[in-house]
Amino acid sequence: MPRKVAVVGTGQTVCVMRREDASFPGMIYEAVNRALKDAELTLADIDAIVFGSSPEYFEGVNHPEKWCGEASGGFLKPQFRIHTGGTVGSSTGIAGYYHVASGLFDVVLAVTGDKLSEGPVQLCLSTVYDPIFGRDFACGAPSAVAIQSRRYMHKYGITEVQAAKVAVKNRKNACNNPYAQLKFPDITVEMVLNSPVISSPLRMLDVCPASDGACAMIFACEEKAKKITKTPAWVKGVSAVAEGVNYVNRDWAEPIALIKAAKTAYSQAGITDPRKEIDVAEIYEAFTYQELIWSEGLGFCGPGEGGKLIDEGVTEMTGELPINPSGGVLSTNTIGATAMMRQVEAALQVMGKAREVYEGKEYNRQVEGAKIALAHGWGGAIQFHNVMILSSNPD
Amino acid sequence: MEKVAVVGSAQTKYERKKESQHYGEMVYETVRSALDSSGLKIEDIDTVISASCDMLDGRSISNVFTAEAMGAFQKEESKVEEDGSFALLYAYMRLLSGRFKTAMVVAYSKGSESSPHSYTALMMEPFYQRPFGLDGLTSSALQARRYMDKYGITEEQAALVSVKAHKNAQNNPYAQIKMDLTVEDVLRSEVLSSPIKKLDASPISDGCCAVIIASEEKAKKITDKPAWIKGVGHYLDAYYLGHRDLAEAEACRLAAQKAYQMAGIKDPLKEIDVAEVYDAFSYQELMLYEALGFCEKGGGGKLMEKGFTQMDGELPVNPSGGVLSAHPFLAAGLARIAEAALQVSGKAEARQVPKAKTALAHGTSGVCLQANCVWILGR
Repeated sequence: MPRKVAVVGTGQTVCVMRREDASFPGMIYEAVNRALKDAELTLADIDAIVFGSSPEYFEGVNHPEKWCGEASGGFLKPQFRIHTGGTVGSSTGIAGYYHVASGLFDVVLAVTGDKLSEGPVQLCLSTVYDPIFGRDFACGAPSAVAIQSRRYMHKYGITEVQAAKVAVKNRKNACNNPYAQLKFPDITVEMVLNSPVISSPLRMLDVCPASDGACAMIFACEEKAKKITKTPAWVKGVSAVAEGVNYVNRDWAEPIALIKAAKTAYSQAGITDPRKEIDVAEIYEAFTYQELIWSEGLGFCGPGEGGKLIDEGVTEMTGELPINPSGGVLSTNTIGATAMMRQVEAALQVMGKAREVYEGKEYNRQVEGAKIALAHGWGGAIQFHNVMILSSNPD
Repeated sequence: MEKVAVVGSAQTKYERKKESQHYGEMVYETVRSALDSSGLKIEDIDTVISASCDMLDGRSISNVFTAEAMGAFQKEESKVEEDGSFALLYAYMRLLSGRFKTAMVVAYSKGSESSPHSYTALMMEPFYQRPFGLDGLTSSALQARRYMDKYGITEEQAALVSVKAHKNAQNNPYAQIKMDLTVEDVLRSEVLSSPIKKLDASPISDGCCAVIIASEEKAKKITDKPAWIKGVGHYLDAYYLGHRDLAEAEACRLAAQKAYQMAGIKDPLKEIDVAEVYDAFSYQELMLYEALGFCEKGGGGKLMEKGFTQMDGELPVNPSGGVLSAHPFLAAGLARIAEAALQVSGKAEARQVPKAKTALAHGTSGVCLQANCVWILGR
């Protein structure tokens, strides 16, 4: 049995389209300080740092973990960088977990971020496509996911209305999250359906924004965790699975890497009926249709039943299994920090800390009595999936 | 703590330009031969950790494509975008956690398909430092000059490192630059950025290295000569060159201290039989002698002159020819570990240090030895 590890502190910056007042290291510094403050620790208590950010083309600085060395708290400390694309936030959280689970370190800070306002994001993402066979028709992330969405609609009869309901739910939820970028308190399905087409079937309101922001979380071993906080979020399961990029052999409506990652994480956490046993999930829905596809992959419903799941209100704040109380990726997407924000939000839920007063205003996205939460990360060319299960109970 | 060992490895021959191979093929071939070296099948590998760089591959999220080539399909996978020695560290952590029993670690790059100048120039701070035109070479030249000034290190002493490296490389089938040189040859070679001359600098290389590690029970089944991991340490130094005394590889010193503490090493010069270090520039090897505790501060030049680190010396350094004789970014640090493991397993063939029981391997990332990872392997 691996060593018990818990999340003991978290910190997020407010995410906006363009942070003009802070550099990339400045944002990292802000997130790190917020996490330290949350855990009531100082940098002297941190044994190691793990840093994560997305393609360095975004900020135009190679080895950004070096640039952010001091800001991340890494000066004359152990530090290295994880980079796995969209999953990088959760990959970095998982690496933070393994730093402690290995027994080499007791208290570890994981920090991620990106400043997407500083580079041409979709142009950079187009370089994911194969330089010889794929780049002639490379068209960023939305167009690839448009193909995935269309395939999913075709295979299971999912409708644009069902996808629009995801946008309505998450964009309303975002109003309860002080760190979220886009907030639409009065959004309707009609508004989504009438928003301009970005890449059919995806419309403007089906799509995530590009954000500037950073996120940090602190992992600790059992002994330390119990001293640091009364409400640790115990890491009960982690999995990060890759699949191939060989497009023609894949059915994008069937997330096989996610199915496998979920199976592994559930078995580690002793979960047999995810929909019943998990109280809240934060999943990486950069596009509306993906929340439905990933819900199927996570076993919240059967294959093709994602549309029904949203129709029946299961994933609403008042439903059986609320998904993305934070507003999810549709509301905020820094890429670098995005999947870590899922882990942080899931941790806040089981810590009972998903309600707070921020700059004088009260925000409440807490799922009452949440004990087990799931955090998911997606990345690569629709091929990497990370799952983390967090629990209020160490055993 | 779970015991973990290196049980297999493979390296490509390092070349200036691998024209006949796509980087995916290069990765596949290396992973394939690493499996063969240990008698394993890809099904026997529990997790795959890679080290690659978007800026070198010219492709965002570089593991998107190579995940398949390195056998990570439907496996637990992640990527460390650092020198391969750090990727090994993450794989080691995963095994120590007890969740995995075996790991494949892969690092590669094709220097020929990218610009090493841009690769390092883009590491520099964009607002205040980049306008000066600093890159890996020019900032290392500043470091070399500071080191020479502070400790009276001479160009001849640095040249001796190059002579040794290129001589040793002749015994390494994977090395790229093999030459019989004299100190005079090195001193007369073209000045790249004073005091660094062409033969003080590592070449541009294409290549890949793969290392397989396994936990105790598995390791003993896979091979009768595992190279056990005895200690590891990794540290980061300041980013701004002006915030450091460039003559001191402080982060390397801390990393070595940690690794020695884990491995129970008190007198490194005596207890370590062979070392493989990341000598991207000749003078850096001298600095590393000091940081690794092979000699006192400022004693690197003397240690070299006395022949301590020659093949027949007390502590041979870089029997493989080191990074001066082949420098595939990211793979170079992992190759140091592969070489160190071969030494303690007694499989280093013509470059074998007789009776090597304890080996040190060093990897670095960033410019001027900013991040360092030090490993101790033993029988």
